[in-house]
Amino acid sequence: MRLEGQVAIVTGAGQGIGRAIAKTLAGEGAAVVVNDIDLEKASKVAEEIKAQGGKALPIKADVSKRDEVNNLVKETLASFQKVDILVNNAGIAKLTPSLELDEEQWDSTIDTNLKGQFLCSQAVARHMVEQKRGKIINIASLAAHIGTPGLLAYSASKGGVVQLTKVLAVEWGKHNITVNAVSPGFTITELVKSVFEERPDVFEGVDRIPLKRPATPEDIANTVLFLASPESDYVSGQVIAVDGGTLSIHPRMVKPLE
Amino acid sequence: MERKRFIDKVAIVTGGGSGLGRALCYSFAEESASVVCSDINIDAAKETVSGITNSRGKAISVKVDVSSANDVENMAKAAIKEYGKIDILINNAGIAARQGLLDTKEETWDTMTAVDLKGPFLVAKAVIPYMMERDYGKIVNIASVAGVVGCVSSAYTASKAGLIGMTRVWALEFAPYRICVNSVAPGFFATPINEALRKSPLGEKLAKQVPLGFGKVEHIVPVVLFLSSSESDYVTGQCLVVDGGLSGTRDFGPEYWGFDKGKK
Repeated sequence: MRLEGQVAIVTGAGQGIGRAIAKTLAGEGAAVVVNDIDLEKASKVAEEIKAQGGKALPIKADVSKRDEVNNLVKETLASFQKVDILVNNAGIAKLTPSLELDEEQWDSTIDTNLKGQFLCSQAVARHMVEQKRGKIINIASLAAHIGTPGLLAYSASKGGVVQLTKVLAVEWGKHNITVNAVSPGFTITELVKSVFEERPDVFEGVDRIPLKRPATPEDIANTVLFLASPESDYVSGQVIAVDGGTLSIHPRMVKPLE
Repeated sequence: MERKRFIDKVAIVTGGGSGLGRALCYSFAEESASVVCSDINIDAAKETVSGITNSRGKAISVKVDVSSANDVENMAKAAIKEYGKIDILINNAGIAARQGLLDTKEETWDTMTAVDLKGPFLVAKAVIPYMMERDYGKIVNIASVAGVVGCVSSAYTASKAGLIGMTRVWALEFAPYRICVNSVAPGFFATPINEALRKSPLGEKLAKQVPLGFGKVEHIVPVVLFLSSSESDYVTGQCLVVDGGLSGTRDFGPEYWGFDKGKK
């Protein structure tokens, strides 16, 4: 058990990658606060964790709302007295041509994906500074590294997440808080399915991924676990792409030699 | 941590006779891997191997100059002869020296790039065919933060940046064979070689520029093991910088943070 006695908050853990992260951390002994904007989904994941003998507490919060985030941390401390690990996972995405992107969608995407990570990190770090220890893992995206058509607000928010990660790593290093990001490659989740259900015509398939398969939520969760564990105590300010080699592809798509 | 992630796995570690290489050999063996410890200094490699076999681990030593194609091929053959396969390769052997461009002799350039850049090329070329046969492999190249930002010396930085580049090409080229290739770039580490520097006033100044302070070998080992294990099966072509936040950005110091608050 690599996280015995530790307390973790995972935002947006009601489904997809967040759910896999919550279950993986709980499987290694952490008490996990399963946060989601949808309490029903969060409760279901918490029940799954408990059924496997783990510790979990579902808490509803919209990460883009300061009061709700403060309450999330307050309730966590009330139940578990501390927070060792924060996984900023909650995020939204919708494929929209940039000329049609309205201000509301821009705002809500930035608020949830970027401001949400800021608010959660700040609220949790106030506590981590006191205990002189903490691990923050931010979920970014390949969209933070390469231009993805139709994902303007999402890509901007995730690019912001990468820089937020680096600034906080440097600022909070002296408090023994490490801050890193994980950029998942193409992962089959509810969110991704919903994106491509709307626009199946733009999906090119997984053939272009060097490892020839999409990521599983567990692939991402394993790297998050690594960054949450003492094994990565000297890793800070980094972004790990868990992408099956996608970012290594030559932009002109030269095929591997057979 | 009582984990056994490398049961039935065979790992080659180059430069396994000292420092990080030795620590990696020990850790792989502790998690049940059969270890091929290669070093140009065979006595040092043998010492690592006795350390392993004394605690009932499996390991063999091979004398290898990684810049010699002949030595490197013999190493791969020795691994196959002893253990029948190769699952994991850690390109760790390397040399370093701080030196300005104008002071760098051509011979120094040649020697350093031969070990630090051509070495991993030759080793990978000798080992990968065995991995391809079995559609499985994990390669971790030990680069340096000097390959990401400019420091240390032209030859060293060029070699390490080149190694990070080769990592990406191999990741793409051998993904069809389920061979994952990543690099780890250590930052400023406390070693016996830089002890005098670290204890000097300059060293104290340098330490303050690293958000988490100087690193230790124990910080690097688990990162390399993670990239060698099935936990990272979807991670390939990446360079993981393990530098305590050093290269993330720049801390301008307390005066900068306090600037808008007026006088302290």
